[in-house]
Amino acid sequence: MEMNSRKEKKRDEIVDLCEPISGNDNSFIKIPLTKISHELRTPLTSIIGFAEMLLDDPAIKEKSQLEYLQIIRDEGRRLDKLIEAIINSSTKYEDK
Amino acid sequence: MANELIYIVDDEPAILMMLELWIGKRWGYRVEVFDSGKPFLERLTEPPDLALLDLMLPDISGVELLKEIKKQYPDVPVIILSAQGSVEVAIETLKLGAADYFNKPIDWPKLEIAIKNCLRLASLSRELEHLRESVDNRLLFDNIISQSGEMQEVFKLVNRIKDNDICVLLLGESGTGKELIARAIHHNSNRSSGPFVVVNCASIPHDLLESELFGHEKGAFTGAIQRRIGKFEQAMGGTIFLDEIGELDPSLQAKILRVIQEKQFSRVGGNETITTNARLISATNRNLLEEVKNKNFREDLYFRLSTFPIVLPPLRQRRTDIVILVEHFLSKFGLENGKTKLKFSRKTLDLLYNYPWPGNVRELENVIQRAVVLADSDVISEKELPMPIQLYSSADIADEHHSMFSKGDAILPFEKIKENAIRHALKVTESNIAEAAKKLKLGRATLNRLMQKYKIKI
Repeated sequence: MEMNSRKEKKRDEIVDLCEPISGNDNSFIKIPLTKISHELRTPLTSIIGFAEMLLDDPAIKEKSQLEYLQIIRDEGRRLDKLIEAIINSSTKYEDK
Repeated sequence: MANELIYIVDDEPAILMMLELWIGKRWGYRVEVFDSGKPFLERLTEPPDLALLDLMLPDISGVELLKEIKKQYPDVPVIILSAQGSVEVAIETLKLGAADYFNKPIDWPKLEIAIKNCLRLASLSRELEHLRESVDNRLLFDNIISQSGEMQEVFKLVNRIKDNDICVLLLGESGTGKELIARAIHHNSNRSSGPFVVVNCASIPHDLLESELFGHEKGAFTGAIQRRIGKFEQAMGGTIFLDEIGELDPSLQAKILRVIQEKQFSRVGGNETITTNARLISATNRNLLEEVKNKNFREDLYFRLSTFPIVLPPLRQRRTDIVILVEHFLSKFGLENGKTKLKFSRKTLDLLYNYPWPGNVRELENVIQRAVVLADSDVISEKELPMPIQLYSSADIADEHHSMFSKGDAILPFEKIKENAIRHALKVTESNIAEAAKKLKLGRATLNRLMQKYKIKI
């Protein structure tokens, strides 16, 4: 699985999600809550899923362990960026 | 190890990889993964046992994929995985036929149970469908026990014409189950709620048959003290089965022809024209075409009756059925006679298997009934079989054929061979001269003359 292209793609999606927020005044309320939920839960799903996999099976090969941990880290960062973007835009909204 | 095939669609590479690991590697299912809707739809030519769909996909939405699966394969269970967390979406997908809905992050133990349950339910419903089909088949041919290919062909034909009002002519030797097939046609047709009326044309005296078939008015003939409804009227909305139709005399043949062509008849001694909608099934063990050639049977009626002929093979041509019929009758009569542990000895079974059964299933049924009644131990020996079967064996027949033409190296005189042929024919036909003459391709008079010549007495 191509992790680099995955990261690139997700970074774009975060920007996509934030664009309407940083646009005109009315756009914030137009973002469906389900979309925010989807974007937050998608990386969470991978983080929890791979963590559980590691906890569940101590016999996983070292190479796989490393791969899973990298995914957890990457998805965690993705989540962090997303939260940051949401907070930034909502601060902008409140400022306005 | 589970072997079911599961298709998984999710556009998130990490989640797809994780699902593949959990479901494929951990739980042992065969897994195929797709990162968008299009390749998944292309792969749908081969249906999976279960599909796991993400809702938000880049090309086609999960809801659309769900609709497409349900359209093509309504029985394939679909589990929806979504990070949207919206109750409305969950309800919508369930309404569209999804078997379950899971929010991300995924609760793995719950997902495992859900997959197991869905697959179990799908396999149960397939099993139910299968059972339902076999029950339908059993209903369809109730009382007809057969596994032979020839009879399966007959069943297929019956299935094809059951709801059609086409005239069916059942051809077959006595005891092959012509009436059972006629009943099967009726009971499985859209007329099954109507009456099924049987008339055996051979068992009713010729002069009474007309009134039996069409009814009579009061005073139509001596003894007609009141109006009587005939079989064709009784069979309104149902089926009338004319057995031994080859026995009809010419005047009745004309009347039957009118019923078939115009659906009309009159009672004996009556003026009123009655219209009938009864479906006609007829049967005979005679060679009707031969009867037509000999001017004993109307050609036009023959063609009308035989619009759809079904030939029932004699038992000796489907020997595999002998075994299951023997078992069936043994348990049937064993139960009736309180002898449930009965078995046939090996030799008895061999005799039953090799006997040519000129009386077909009916004869076999009678022989087994007799054997069950006579049996005084749990094993039925050959002594409980009628003499002709006890004395019959295929080896005898082979010898007989051999000795019919020669004795060792000595060559038999031609006259002796002719005599042997006649004796053999009479034995096989149980001394039925007409039948023996037919099989020998001789005139009946010629056979009689030859029998006198060779001093053969029966």
